[in-house]
Amino acid sequence: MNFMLAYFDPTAGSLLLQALVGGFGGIMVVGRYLWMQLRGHEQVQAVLSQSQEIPISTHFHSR
Amino acid sequence: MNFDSGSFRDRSARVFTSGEQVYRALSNEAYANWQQVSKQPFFLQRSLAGQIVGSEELSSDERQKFLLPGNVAAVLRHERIPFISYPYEWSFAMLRQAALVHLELLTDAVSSGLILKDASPYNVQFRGSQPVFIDLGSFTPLVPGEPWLAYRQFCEMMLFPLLLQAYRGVDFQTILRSQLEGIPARQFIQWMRWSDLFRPGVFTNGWLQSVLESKTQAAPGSTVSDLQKSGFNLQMIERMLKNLKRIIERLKWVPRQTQWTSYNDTLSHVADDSPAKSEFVHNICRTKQRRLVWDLGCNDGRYSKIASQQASTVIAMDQDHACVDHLFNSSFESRSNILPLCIDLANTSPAQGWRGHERKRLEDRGRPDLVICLGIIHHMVLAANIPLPDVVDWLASLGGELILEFPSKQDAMVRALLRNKHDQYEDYSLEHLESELQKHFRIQQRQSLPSGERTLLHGIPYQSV
Repeated sequence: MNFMLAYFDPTAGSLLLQALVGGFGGIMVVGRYLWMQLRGHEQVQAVLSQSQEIPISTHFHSR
Repeated sequence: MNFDSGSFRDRSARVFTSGEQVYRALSNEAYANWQQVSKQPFFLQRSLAGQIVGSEELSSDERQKFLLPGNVAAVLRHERIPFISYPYEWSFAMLRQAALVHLELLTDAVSSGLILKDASPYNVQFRGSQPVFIDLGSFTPLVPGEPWLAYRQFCEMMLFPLLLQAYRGVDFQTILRSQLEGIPARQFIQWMRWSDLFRPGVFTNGWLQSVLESKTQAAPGSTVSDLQKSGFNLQMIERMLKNLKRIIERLKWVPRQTQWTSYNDTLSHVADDSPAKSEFVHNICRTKQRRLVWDLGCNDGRYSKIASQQASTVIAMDQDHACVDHLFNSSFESRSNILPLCIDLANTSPAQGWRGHERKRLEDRGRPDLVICLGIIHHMVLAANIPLPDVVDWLASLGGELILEFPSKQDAMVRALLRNKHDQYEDYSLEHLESELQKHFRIQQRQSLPSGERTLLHGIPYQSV
């Protein structure tokens, strides 16, 4: 998993674990959670791919 | 009025002291939570049983005298705990009791629509040998669909230290003393062998948590709300609490026999002197009721037990974890007023934490009325190499009366200590000890013991004569 952000949040793992040890229902919750993350990731990628590049001039003119 | 230097993390329910009394200032939100929790049957029942610290709300008139900041909605007056102790001074059984208290309270709270927002063992103290939950600000309303946010803290500060002690025999006190936030999962798992992964609690709470921590980076949104939306529910918390409770209830630490675990029974001179020592201690203790007694180098606690008959609380200290654990188990069963602690007298608990004020040094947590120091001074002077005047000076700085046992250089145990050492201890003599003692104490009584090489002394500090 790579959720784009660089900041590491160790509590996220312990929160997910609580669902994982919560039996079959918990595993379904984790599945839905991961699906949401994947969808969120794709949407962010789509927004980024649709954005237009702004050309930046490489020439600097002194006045 | 002084805010407690260790109570700053939770701004909504800070502890402060005024004179001998302990109070808690509640914000609007914390006051609403208090009103909710204090009506719950489980809370009332456990408060009556002494498992939750006694508390009462002050009237607005009483509150005014403290000149508190404007955001304080209410003030609670708490029962005073006789002696504050820290998890790095507890034995295995004590930390285990603290963990069970948390899980039991949390199970009750969850079924009443509440949850504990922290899982710190510092939120449990011992009234004698009995655990008491003290952090009432930790009870907050349970938000449906939210996981238990303090689960990781529970693992790092209670579960992992217990598993480490039970499965690998690693004394957790030294780790918790330097790592005040506990043992992270990745560090815990490094201490485990592959075969330990099959032991209860290690695979899921340790290994899996460590893997998830290292693989899961923060998502753009909140993990809590995303889990909520994914259908996380209360039953999952309940199931996890049940599992944790089962793991901890079954957890046992079988300490190896140490030279101290059968010290009082195996050595003939100790057995010979024991009745006379007991009588000496008993005669001094029975003269008056004392509030706080310290028994240094308590071993099996036989003198702590004598002192406990005429004292409100006895703090029984020993360096040997096995002795302290054994004494705690027997004290817990008999509900005695003895609080055993793992203390190395040559390296007592320092002031530490934020700005060195968060956790107090041992000596700053209550002045003993009487210090019992039997069979220990030769270890401090001859084994730990602390000069005898320094030892006496430290004992005097505690401020109480003193019962001290001095074994001469002809004593069998002293000879054993010096057997392979160069004897640089010219100051180690009864005459020198007495002259040092007399700088601080009036020597009230001295008595030679039947073994012939040991002397008992009773000193009373000059300021209290």
